[in-house]
Amino acid sequence: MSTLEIKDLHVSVEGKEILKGIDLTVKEDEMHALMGPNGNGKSTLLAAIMGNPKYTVTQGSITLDGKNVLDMPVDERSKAGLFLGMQYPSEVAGVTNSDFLRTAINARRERPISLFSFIKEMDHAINELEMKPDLAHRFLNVGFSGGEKKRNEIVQMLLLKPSLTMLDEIDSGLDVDALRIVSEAVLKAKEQTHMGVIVVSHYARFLDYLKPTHAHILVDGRIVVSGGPELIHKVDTEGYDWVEKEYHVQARKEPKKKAVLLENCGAKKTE
Amino acid sequence: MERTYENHFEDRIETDEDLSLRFDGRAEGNLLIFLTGEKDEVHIDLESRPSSNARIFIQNAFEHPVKIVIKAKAENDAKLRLGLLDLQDHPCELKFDGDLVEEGADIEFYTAQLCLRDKLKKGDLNLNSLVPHTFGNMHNFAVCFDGGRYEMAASGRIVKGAFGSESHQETRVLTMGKDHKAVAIPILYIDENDVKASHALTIGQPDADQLYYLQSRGLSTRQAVGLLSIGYFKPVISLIEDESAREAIESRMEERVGLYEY
Repeated sequence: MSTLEIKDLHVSVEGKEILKGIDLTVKEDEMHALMGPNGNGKSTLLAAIMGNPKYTVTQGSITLDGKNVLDMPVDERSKAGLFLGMQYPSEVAGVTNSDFLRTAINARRERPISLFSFIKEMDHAINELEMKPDLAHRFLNVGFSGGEKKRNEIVQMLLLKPSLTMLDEIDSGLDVDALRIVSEAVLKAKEQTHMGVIVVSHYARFLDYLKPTHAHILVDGRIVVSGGPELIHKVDTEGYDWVEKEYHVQARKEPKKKAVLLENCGAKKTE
Repeated sequence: MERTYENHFEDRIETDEDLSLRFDGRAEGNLLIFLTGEKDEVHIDLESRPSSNARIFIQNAFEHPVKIVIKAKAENDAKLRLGLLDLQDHPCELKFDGDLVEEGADIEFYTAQLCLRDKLKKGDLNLNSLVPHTFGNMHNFAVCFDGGRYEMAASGRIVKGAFGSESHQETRVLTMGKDHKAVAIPILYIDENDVKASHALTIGQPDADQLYYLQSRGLSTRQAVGLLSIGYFKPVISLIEDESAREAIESRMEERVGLYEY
């Protein structure tokens, strides 16, 4: 039974504390929706679990099936069963999707996958996501539309078969049809592999498709309220203001971009 | 060794002898050359006659330091695609002189070199547009690991009177680890107004976000770096038409850059 357990997790970026004590347990077959206003730590949590070097864990623990995840380098975390579908996947020119995925699959096997098996699996995943057949031969994410990048993340998920998948706003950039296709692929994979899922999304329709078993609202680096699907419905209809009032927390506001003022231009100020 | 190719040709040469190869008028085909043996210097002379179209892949397979000297001449409307792959853990000095001597002549030259500790890979390339309406292009790729040494001087020249000609070049060097040294000198000598010329140069470490992305899918740092390197070698390898030969060389290349280090 695959279990991710996070206890009292504190994470900083460039000396600034973003997560201030997260406790979360995700078991197999569970789907957890992580919600909250922008800039309050949802993506930071997923990136810290995956081991993004930009994020520093200052306190707390993350274990996967009892193994200390924080002791593992990024690639070991992936091989242990973690997968992060990223909000902004990197573009890698010169590396084809098929070379990349074959290497990633082989990295977690004792003997390399046969070319025939690989092509069969890749074709199956491409068909399931209804992507263009030339995907395998294109450079990794280069020239992909926003939606293609997100679907390509799910293609990778299908091929790598993680025990715990994290999806960071994977729905952004997807049109209505693509949203359904991605949702169905995630649900099918979950049914087949019993993977646990953590999904970050602002889009109620995506969560309607996925039907999370748990929901959490993260404000100012802390999970302030957890519950079931009813919490998603409440956020969808009422927003987050009630969370601030009821739980006496203040959401971190993303700094607004200042307008550029031409203070020394020649126009004369008048009262 | 002298050979003349006519009509449609496919050939494979494994040698350390000097080569003098001629592609007759309208000859079209592919040639694989594997340089291996005892000698420490090899000369390759190429002559592309009018309207010929040749694709030549050369692999340095010498197990010792070597100097490779290539001279190429392209005549009226001749097209020559030529590439050198050098993955050896030995120094290599490359000298290339290409002359576009008649209108419509077109030479495209690729190099891809792996630079390992203290083994200097040095190139001195010259591609000369000597008459109007010619096309020259050089693509130089290198991957330097710890302590690797790379020096590449590539000159594109368009002489007075060679109007309507083009001279382009790109040099891309991926540096990894420590103590490597990469020097790239792109030069354009342009002595005519109505021409097109360009050069592009990048030297640098792999992008940290790209590395993280690849690692997040289970690739070790060595494998991730190896995979990024492959992109630098593929353009040369794509000159090989024969699928089985290409796969064999790709596999060898993937092994050399650490893709199979599990």
